[in-house]
Amino acid sequence: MPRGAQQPVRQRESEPPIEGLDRSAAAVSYVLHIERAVKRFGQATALDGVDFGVAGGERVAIVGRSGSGKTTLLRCLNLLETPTSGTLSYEGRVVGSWGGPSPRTPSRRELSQHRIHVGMVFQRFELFPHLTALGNVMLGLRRSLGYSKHEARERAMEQLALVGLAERARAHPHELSGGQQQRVAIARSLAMEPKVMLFDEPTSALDPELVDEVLAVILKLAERGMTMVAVTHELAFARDVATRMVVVDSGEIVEQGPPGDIIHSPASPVTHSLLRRLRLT
Amino acid sequence: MAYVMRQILVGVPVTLLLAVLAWILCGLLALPITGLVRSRLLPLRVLGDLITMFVRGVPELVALFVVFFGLQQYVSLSPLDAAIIAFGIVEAPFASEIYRASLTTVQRGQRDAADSIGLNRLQGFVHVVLPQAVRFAIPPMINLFIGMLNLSSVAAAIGVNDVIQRANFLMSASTGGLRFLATTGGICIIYLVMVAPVSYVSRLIERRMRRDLFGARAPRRLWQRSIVIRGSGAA
Repeated sequence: MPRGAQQPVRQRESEPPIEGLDRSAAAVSYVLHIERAVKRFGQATALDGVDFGVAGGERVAIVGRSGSGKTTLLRCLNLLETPTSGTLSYEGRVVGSWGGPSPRTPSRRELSQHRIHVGMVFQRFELFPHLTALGNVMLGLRRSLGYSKHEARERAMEQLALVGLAERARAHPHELSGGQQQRVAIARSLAMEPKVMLFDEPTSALDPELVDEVLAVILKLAERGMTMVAVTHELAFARDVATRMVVVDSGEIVEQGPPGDIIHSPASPVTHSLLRRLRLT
Repeated sequence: MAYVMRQILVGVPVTLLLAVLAWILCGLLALPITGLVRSRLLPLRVLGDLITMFVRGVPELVALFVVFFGLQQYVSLSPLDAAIIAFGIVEAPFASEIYRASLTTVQRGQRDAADSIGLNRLQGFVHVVLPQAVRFAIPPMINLFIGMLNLSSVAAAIGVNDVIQRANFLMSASTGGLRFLATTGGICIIYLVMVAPVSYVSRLIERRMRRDLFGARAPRRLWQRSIVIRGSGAA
């Protein structure tokens, strides 16, 4: 898979349906690809037929109003949320397909495996409060990847060093600042060596003065060529770091393309009003 | 007074034994009930709710009589055995409610986080949910134990030779008002002495737990003013 493959196009035509395991060229070029994703919560429709893929080395910023479905889209990508219908593929292979002609539900094992490939960082960190920073990072290594205690500790310390928190390894989450907690959460996710990292508003629960230290860590990952998808309200960061910006509204992608272009000349009125609001805050 | 106290104190080990064993039994019986109540299958959930509702509605004394006089016809039970079984069963739904509530205090996001690092359901439960839920369950479970200590006094009704039974003997054997006062006073002191350390330990554990999970301090009781928790290195 080519690193930094050029990303399509604004207002991409929706692709022809892919049947079962049949792979179209488009599906193969993406690391992670969700097609015709629909997610309903009872009566409410959070996603209304979204096609979204991310290529290796790409950095996608997803923006949208609250309740637009951006977080749901992210959660469907690592199957924390099961789509009502749609097909999810990873590296050209169908992980799961729902509500279509050839449904496929991933096994528990495949589900775990997929989530190891696709890491996630949460808005509210979600560190395990009963474990130290080191324990948080070690848990997945030990239980999901089967590392020995010694190996896990070593690898976890490397990850904590990467986010600049090696000396806080023994601290419990409540002893850390919000920014430090989020960096530990990134280290925890990173330790699993994911191919794609998902960030769900990683800085929006932080005090303003703590935002930069988290963004700096994300930037570091970007420089290492990590493929990532981030739901964010940080316009400047999206402009500087993202290779593509995707605007979501009412469960649909209304516009996408290079962040600079979208920020300077939004095509959709939805984007226009969203950008105005984000600049004000 | 000294004579009275010596007489009553003989009952203390029995009271403690009864309370501890009944408490353990109720804690164990509560596990399957919690499993039922939290089951995904509606019929099992309904069954769990029915058991909770029914057993919770049985007065302790009635349960004691049912077990002692009812089961007695099939197996031979000492009054102490009967009391342990009866109290263990009657209190089980309360323990189950404690477990259930403790499990729900662990927020959805914690499960998501466990999922997101590839843990399966069992691993997520064992390594993420349970360790947190247990910390929440400890203070109310200790509370339940104190309730059990007090409840154990009812067992005298079927002749368990506990503190109350000893006191009963003393009071019925005497006629003097002073002896009566000494005996009832003695009982109060003994229960206080049994309960106070348990309450105290419970507060310590609760504070530790809150510190571990949130870094927050539990409110102190007046009589704990002088207590300093060691090693609280919160930044």
